[in-house]
Amino acid sequence: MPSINGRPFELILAELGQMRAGAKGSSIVLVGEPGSGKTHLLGRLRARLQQDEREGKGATVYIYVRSNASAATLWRHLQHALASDLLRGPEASQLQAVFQRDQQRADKVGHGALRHVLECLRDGRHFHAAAAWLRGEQLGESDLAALGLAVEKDDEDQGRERDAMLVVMAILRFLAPTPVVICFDQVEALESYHGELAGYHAMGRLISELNDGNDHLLLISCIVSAFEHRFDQLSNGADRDRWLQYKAVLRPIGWEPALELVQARLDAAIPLQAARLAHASDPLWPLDEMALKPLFAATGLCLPRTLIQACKQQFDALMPGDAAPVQPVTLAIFLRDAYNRNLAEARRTATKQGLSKTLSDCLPWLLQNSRMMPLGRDEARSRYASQAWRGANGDIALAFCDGRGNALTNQFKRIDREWNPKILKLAILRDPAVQPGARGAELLVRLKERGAREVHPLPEALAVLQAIRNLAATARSGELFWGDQIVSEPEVTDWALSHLPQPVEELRTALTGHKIPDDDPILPRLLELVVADKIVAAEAAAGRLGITTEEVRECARRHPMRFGLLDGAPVVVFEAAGAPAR
Amino acid sequence: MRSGKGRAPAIDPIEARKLLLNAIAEATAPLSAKHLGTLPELGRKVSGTAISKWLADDLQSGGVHWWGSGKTRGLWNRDPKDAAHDRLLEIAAVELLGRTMLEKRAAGMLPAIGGAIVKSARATLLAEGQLREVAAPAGVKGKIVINAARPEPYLQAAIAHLLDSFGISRSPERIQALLGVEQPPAAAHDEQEVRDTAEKIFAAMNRIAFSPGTTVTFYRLRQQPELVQIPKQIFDRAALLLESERRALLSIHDHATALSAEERESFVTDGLGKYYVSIYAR
Repeated sequence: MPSINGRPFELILAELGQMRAGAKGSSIVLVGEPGSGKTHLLGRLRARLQQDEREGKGATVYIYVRSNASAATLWRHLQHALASDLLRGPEASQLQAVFQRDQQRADKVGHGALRHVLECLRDGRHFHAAAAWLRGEQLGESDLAALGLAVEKDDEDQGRERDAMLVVMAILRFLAPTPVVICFDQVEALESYHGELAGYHAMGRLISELNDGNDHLLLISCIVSAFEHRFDQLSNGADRDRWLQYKAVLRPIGWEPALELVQARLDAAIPLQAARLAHASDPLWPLDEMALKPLFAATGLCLPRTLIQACKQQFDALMPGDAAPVQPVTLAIFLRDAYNRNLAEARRTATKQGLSKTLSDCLPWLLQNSRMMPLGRDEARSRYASQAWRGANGDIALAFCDGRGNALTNQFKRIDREWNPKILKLAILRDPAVQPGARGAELLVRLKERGAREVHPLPEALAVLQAIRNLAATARSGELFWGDQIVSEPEVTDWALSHLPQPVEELRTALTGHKIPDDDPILPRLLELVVADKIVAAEAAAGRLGITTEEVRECARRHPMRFGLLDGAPVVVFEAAGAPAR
Repeated sequence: MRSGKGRAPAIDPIEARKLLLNAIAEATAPLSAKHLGTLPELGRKVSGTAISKWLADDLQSGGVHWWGSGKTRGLWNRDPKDAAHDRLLEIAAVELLGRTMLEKRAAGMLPAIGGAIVKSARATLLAEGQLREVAAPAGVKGKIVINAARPEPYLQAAIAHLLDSFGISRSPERIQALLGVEQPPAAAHDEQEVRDTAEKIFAAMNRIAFSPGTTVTFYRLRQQPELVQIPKQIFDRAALLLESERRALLSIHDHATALSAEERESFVTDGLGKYYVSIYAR
């Protein structure tokens, strides 16, 4: 439907046309209410760019970035999205298309490591390791050696962000002069908790850097209108001006375009085609036009999504025989299901992106909702700590240590040098599976003797926090639906806080000092049994403990870091590998 | 060296456009091209053709509109379609008129609106169901157009006719009472203040909008010198008035009730739980 959101789309195409004609690229901000079609517009743009390329009007690289990152991880997040979109579809990826146009382009890349990696990708050598490096994922020493790269020595977040920025800029230079469109969707997701502005400031700086360093780049940012006032709160006017070079509003639609939209949708439904021919005089058949009119009563306008949902409801009501998906009976059940769907993906993401990025992006939500408040930026503190918070038990600095080998040792050295325990308490958050070398272990002991606490966030805790963050960001953008009802971010937050799994509760306790009540009487008894037997059928365990099989199963599910559960016949419970000591 | 009586310097089209837009935004009625061409700020007399050329983009994008026709033709930043909508609804709510008479009455009010615009607005309102065409009650010929949300005059006539057919006679006041008592109108002074504020908001919104028709946050609007001192209640009512008059649209905040009172204070509210963050011209 070209008439819907036609003006913003034309603006984008006009800017793209200017850029193809040799003008410098720009930055466009799209503002609209949830359901006004922002994400749809980006999809439409992508399809248009593909069509242009097929028709010989010139190639364009299209990159989609969902902005659920934070101030400390934005460049890494962009690197991941940029590389992922370039590599998507191994046979016909955008990167392969660039190589096909110019085989020698990689030779001109100034960034040594990137040149090695691009050559590997071009020649089909060490594809998986090269792709992982390009996405910014951490690689083992053998993979790095295979790619001909030095072992990573950078041990701090700022250094990694700087590296990511250099890689992103080098990739963009490599892609030049092919125009590149980067779409930052759901910009409001930059808030790791409600009201946090640091992400917007960092995004403003990032847009400025991208804009200044590249001429062939069109940047599009989509933000829900409820968060537009965040632009007014940006303190750096120059960054704001570079970000907001153009602005377009996605508007609700009037009755005539609405009719066209509904008719187009109905015409596209193949199962309806024969029956609709028999009702040619009624363009909306089988829908009732009069039932849609109240949507336009107040202002004469309606959001496209509201209209489509009303049509869907009417359609579902007309087709009682067709089993529509069963809607969860309560909001809590809906949120549980949505969270579980997110969790599977979050487990993969959290493992790949590493402890530091996950904690940077997700931990502020947990701490801010645990009555802690972030401490302002402090140059001296930022040399050894990733974040610092004030809570009922005083101030605490958090150091995220997920380097390996020398990088980890270097980080411990810096903490030992910079941290003053008389000023601030310190928690070192790290993966216990990564063993420091001899010198690193020595330093860690020394730091603990000086009062630092070592906290081991379990992989499941990181995945849970990532899943909650994703769910909350979706709700904030007005994209989370329970039936036809929008679920708000506060509803997600309330639900998540009252259903925090044990690994996250343990992490919260370790950082805030709050005690959590151990109100699971079955846990110690089942634990004792499983530790002794290592593996036991749920039914047998239930018999020995004098409880039902279902209770055994539920207890094992509530404590995933202590028990493994095989949901077969029979159901089997076993001791989880690396379960925390009792 | 040039003599002192040479041609006036050429006018910068960008600067001229700004001056014209300012004049149009501040005007209380459409301004003719002739009037705009003699604005002293332009430095010299300018033809209507040049005015149209400088404002071509704004006319195209809907930032500026032509009002009236022939000699009454003028430029204004309000959309005549919206005014036509409002007039039709207002007239249909108080009088029982057929299509032609209703359109004529709406087009003839000042400032005048072109007949085609009124006709199109009437068709849209009928299609949307805001106006309804019904058989005229006894005593009026043909069909009449009524305001679906305010059908009282029609119902009053129809009820009176129905009662009459049973030989029952009731005073107009009793029938009106049956149809519901109207809320007492707000103090006239308040109403005027709200209207004045609405005009100020509308002008400021058009002045500071990034480009015609883009959103302006209430956070920014409230910082404009002419709006700083306006009490919040008046400001909020004025913003809502612009939406109800179909001159502007407000962007809603879906879950503002979960925010802090301080944050909510920067939004506009209808007092019934709805909060709005920004406004833009329709």
